[in-house]
Parts: sequence; structure tokens; C-alpha cells
Amino acid sequence: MKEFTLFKTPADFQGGVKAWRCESGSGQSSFHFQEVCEAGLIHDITLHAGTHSRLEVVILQNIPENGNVWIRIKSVVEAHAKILLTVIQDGGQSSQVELDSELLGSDARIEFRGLQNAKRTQKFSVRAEVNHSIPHTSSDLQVWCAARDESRSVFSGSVKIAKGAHHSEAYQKNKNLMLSKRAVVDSFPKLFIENDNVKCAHGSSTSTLEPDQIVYLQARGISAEQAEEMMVQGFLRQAISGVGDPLCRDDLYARLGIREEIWS
Amino acid sequence: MSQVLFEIQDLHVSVEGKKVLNGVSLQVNRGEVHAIMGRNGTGKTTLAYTLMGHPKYEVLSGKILLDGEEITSLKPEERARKRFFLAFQYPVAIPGVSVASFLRASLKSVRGEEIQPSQFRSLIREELKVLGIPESFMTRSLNEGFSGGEKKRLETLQLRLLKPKMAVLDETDSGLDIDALRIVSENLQGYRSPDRGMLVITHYQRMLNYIKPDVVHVFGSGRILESGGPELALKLEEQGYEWIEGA
Repeated sequence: MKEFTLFKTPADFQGGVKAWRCESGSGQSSFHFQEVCEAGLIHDITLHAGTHSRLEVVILQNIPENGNVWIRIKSVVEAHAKILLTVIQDGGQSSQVELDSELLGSDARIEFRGLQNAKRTQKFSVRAEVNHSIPHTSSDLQVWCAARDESRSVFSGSVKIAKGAHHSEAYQKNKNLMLSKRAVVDSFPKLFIENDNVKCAHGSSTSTLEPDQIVYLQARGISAEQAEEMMVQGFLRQAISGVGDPLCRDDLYARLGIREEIWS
Repeated sequence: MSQVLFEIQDLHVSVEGKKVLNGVSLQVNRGEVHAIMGRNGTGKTTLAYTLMGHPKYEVLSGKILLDGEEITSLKPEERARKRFFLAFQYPVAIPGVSVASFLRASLKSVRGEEIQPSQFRSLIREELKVLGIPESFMTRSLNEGFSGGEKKRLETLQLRLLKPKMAVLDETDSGLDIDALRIVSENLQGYRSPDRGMLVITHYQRMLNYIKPDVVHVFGSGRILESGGPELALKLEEQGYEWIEGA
């Protein structure tokens, strides 16, 4: 994967918005970004997967604690092409992610994984919109949120299947793990379907750590506190386990403090 | 050193306000295997969870002693570190936590010391081979998508790794096919030693063909109704529980 640093922060802080890109397939794809404000607060990112191409992009936002950032992503997927996009919101005080995606050719597909690792008084939001404009396209939109302390998170997902876009398949999921009674999450998964003959599912789940899971780990000598931490790490790990490049994935695990026993 | 390894004294337990155990008492000597048999819903699993220290199960009165030390009010992890083990009837899945990470954390906690990665891997590989578990299990999420048999093999692996002095096996034979039952049971039988004890909770004689119990208890209405030798399990297999009053 090729690595980019989108947002250069002061030298004494190892944070920012980082992106990794991987291209494959016989077609052409592209990835452009632009800092709209001089302060680097807004990023416009454009992803384009041309016919028969595959583009994987991973974006990690870990700006300094008091920072604010707005990441706007536009993606276009053409026939027989695929975009896999992972966006992680980890740092800063507030962070907005907006995704607008167009599926423009038959067999076009987008997979979006959002992870919000929300803590302190952070405010994170994801607004994602996927437009199925023609027949035989598919999308998979998932946003996972671990909500600690007094954090606030919002997910607003919208999948639109236009008239005539038969045989579209769309899956949308928002999964929230509540780790504090004071944390708040809002979830709005929406579907707009203008024709029959499509396969669509959408849902949202919000839960806390399961006491029986904690007891199971305790019964193996692991303290309740360590058990909870292991389970939270497991949640974060699940959300980004689909990142294709192992080096990139391991880097993300390390940056998010996910300890993984290496077995080889 | 006393011959008594594990003792339950007049244990009364309630779950969510409902009384389930009504005065359970038993004593396991070093080297002994005891079996508990009984109908569904008589409190066998409540006993297992209580012994492990599950916070949902409230001890109203009575004592649990391991090696002469009272463990009734200890947390589950403290019991585990004192080498008490429960093989769960329904081991829960923990998504995102790999089997390897879990086993490493567990070993470290129970042993109280770090284990080198290479030593850990060779130790695990040895046990995987013995139990016929593929190495690919190590990178899978704990118990997630595992068949009943796979879960029970993993429970057995944990027992062999953690080397408890007292182990309670809660229906470890359920969900096992004939071959898996043989592998698991032979391994459990092989775990027996003069300084360890086991309490086997089961519905069937089949597991006891491999793990020969020294004492068999019949459980009913939240207490032990009858105790005897291995022949008691055979009698239950033939005649059921009808002949025991209160079962």
C-alpha cells in the first residue's frame, strides 16, 4: 500500500490524517486530495475506480486532542470496479466524515467501514450516502463505534436505489458499543428504494459489554478490567479486520493500541 | 497435607431472587473423580457457576474450600489463579479476541509470569496435536462460529494448559460426536493424578466409561439426594431417576 500524510501537524505530535492506498485490477483508478483551508481543517478526497479496477483506501484521523477536522470524500465506481474504503476517527475534539458515493456501472461495488473510537468529550459524526443509479450494483456500509466517557457520536447512513436500478444489493449496519453511561450515540440508517427486485438490509445495534463474556475471561484468571479492555480491543479489531494489506492493518492495530498475539 | 482437596459445605444459593441450591455438601479427596448426575433443571449448572464465582449466583450460606482455604467470596479470576477450573457447558463467543491472544493472557495471569512467545507457541502446538485441533484455530475469534465439539476441545485444551488442581466439568460430553467424545474423555482421564481432583457433571454414563468416577452423586431439587460408587451411574443409565425420591 502507498502511504500519504494528508495533514501535517506540528513536529512534536505524531498525529494527523493519514491515508494508505492500494490499487489492483486491469483498470485505472485514482485518488486525489486537497486541503481546502490553509489550517488543514478540511480535506476533500476524491476516489475514482475506473472500469475493471479495484481501489482500497484507508484513512486514519488522529489529529491532536483539541483539533477539529472535516473529511469530505466523493467516490465514483464504474462498471466491474470496486472501492474498499476504511475511515477511522480516533483523535481531535470533533471530527466529521462525509461520504458521497456513486455507483455508475454494472457490477460496481463500494464497501465502506467506518470506525469511531470515541473518548473524553469527543464529537464524531459520519454521514454516508450511496447512490445506486443503474442495475446490478452493490454496496456494504458499516460504521462501528466504541463510545467511552462523555463522547458523542452520530451515524447517518443513506442508501438510495434509483428507479430502474434493478438487482441492486445494499447492506447497511451501524454497531455501537456503549462503554459509559454518559456517552451518547445517535443512529440513523436509512434506505430509499424506488423500485422492486432489489436486496436491501439495514440495521443498528447498540449494546454494552456482555457480563457472561467478562465472567468467562475471569474464569481463566483474567481480571475484569483486563477482560473489558480485551473485549473493547476485539470490537475495534473486528471493525478494521477487513483491511487488505497486513502491514497497514498491523500499523492500525498498533496505533489504536490493539494488542494482537502473533501466531505464525 | 490433608487428603481433602475440595469441599462444599451446606451451600445454599439463589439466582435472581430464586432459591436454587438447597444445602449441597460434598468432599473431594486428592486423586478422586466425583460425578454428579441428575435431571435437567435440578441445579447442576447453578452449582458449577457458583463454584466458579459467577456474580449472578448469590451464596446465601455455606462454604467452598480449596486446599483448606475458603474461596467462597473470591472473584472468578482469583479462584482460577488458585488453580480452580470450570469447563463451561456453553463457552461464550468473544468476537475479535483471538484464541492465541486469549490463551496467552490466561496463561500469564494464572502462572503469574510472562511466557516467552516461542515457548508459548511450542507449548500450544503440542496440546493442539494431542487434541486434534487445527493450528488455524489460534487466529480465529474465541469460540466464534465454533461447533459444539470444537468448543469442548478448546475447553479441554485450556484445562491441560492451566493445570488446575481442581476441575469442574459441566457437561463437557454434550455436543460431542463419538470420536470427539473419545479424544476429549481420554485426555481428561489422562489428566487425573494423585494430587488433582475432578467433579464431572453429566447426564450420561458414556463419558464415565472413560473417566471412571470414584464417587457418583445424584442431584435433585438443588441438593445431593444419593451418593454411591460407579455402579450408581450404571443403575441410573438402566433405570432412570424414578426410583430416587425427590429426583
